[in-house]
Amino acid sequence: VSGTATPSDPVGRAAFRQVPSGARAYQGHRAGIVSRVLAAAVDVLVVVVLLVGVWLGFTALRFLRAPRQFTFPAPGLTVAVVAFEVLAFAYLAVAWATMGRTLGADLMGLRVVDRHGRQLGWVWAALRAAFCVLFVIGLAWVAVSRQNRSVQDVVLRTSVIYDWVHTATPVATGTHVDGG
Amino acid sequence: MSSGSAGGEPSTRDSHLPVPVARPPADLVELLGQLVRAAFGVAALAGEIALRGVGAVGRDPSRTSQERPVGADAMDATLGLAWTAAAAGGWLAAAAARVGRPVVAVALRPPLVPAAWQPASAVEAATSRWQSQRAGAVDVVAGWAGSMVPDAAELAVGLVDVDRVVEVVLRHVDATRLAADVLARTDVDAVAGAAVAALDIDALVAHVLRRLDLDRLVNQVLTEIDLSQLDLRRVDLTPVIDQVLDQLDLTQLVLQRVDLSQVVDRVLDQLDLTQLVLQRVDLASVAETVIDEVDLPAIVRDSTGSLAAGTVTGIRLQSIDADRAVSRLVDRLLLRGRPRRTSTPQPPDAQP
Repeated sequence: VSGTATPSDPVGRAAFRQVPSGARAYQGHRAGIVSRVLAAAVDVLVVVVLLVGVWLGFTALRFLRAPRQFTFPAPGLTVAVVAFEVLAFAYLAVAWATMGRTLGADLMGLRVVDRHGRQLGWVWAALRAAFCVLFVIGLAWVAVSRQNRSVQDVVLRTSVIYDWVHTATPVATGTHVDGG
Repeated sequence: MSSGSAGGEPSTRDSHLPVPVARPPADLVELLGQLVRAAFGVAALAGEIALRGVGAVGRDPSRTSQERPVGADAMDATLGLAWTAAAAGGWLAAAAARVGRPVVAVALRPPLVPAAWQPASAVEAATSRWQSQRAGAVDVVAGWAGSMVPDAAELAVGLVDVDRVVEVVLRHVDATRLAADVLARTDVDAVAGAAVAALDIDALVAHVLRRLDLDRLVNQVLTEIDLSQLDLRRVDLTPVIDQVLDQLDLTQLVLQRVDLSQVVDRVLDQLDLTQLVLQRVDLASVAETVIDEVDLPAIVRDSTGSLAAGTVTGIRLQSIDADRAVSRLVDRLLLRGRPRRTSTPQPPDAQP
């Protein structure tokens, strides 16, 4: 590991000191395959929950429109997959464009940045979201890539970095894990 | 003189003389009879006293002599003969008086003699003269007696064994009845008031206190008094107790004398603390106060937050290690010699 990203402003430095010493060296570096898969799994869970919510809302609307003829909607697999893909795209795009991270990434202390290290714009966020949804297996390239980049990262010149300092989740002090 | 009118029945006399009942004599003859009887009574009394006095000489004075004194029979015989003689003399005198009374009356008031020359008039004149002088004569006697009696009394007391007399008197007096009689006739309150007014109470009390064995007295009183039966309502105990408490170090006393652990054990054994707390404590208000004082949401937030933060940090650190392990494994499989380049450029606004 070379080149540790250390915040220059006082607030950032104070937050940086909250990061466990074992993890400080990795801040600002691209994350590996395990962290990103775990984050993606959490995101899948989130999207599934959103999907169930949408289904429940749709069901409630259906009941309100025609209570007498109400039956639970039973969408086919294709509809479900399409709905999942659409929802995932929207979720990822909004999350990356507004916060720079999804809920899964936030949990794992990750953040998506562009080639300048900045937060993605709406266009890039939408492009990356669509790419990720349509080509999920592209994530696996992280394990092979010399720069810990997925196929999407390579194509769109984005990076997913360890960033515990700017994540919303509080960081505990005193936890020591050997980072070597 | 008539023995019948004198009422003399000498046969019933004995050594214990009857208490005389004063009855005014009816006439001169009866007066003489009474005088004779009185003379015999005095003689009998004096004789008996004299015989007892002679018999008591050299005898134990504490002994009560109820038996007849020696010589009583001889004295009775003498007096009996004298009484008989006196009775006979009295009878003769009464007879003479009965015969002589008219003669004397005529002699005093002879007929045909002017009243101024009658002997009775001379007697009456002498009588009235004496009556006018009697008061002066009595005064002279009284004055003479007033100057002589104290000396005579002094002389008499010196001759008489007063202690013996008092002892004899006390033996015959029912002292209880006498005292009751005296008390009934006396205004005791007035006497007591006068006595108290005359007394120097302080000196008296000081004197009594000097003579008293107070410790023994108090001990005796305390032994015989049931203190618990005293009417405590009549006693103002507060100042006494206050003073006692001021002088006592109760804490030290209790700590020294009381087996506190045993007391507490006993009390706790007898107490249903749970029931007591439920009855006496307003648990609802206590709970409200505690909840008000404690920021429960903050505690829950802190504990769950730190727990979640600790968990998340652990997962993140472990996933970083896993990232590095997978990378090394892949790199080794791909026979890469150089480490991965994972650093990224800092965003422009983060540059110094």
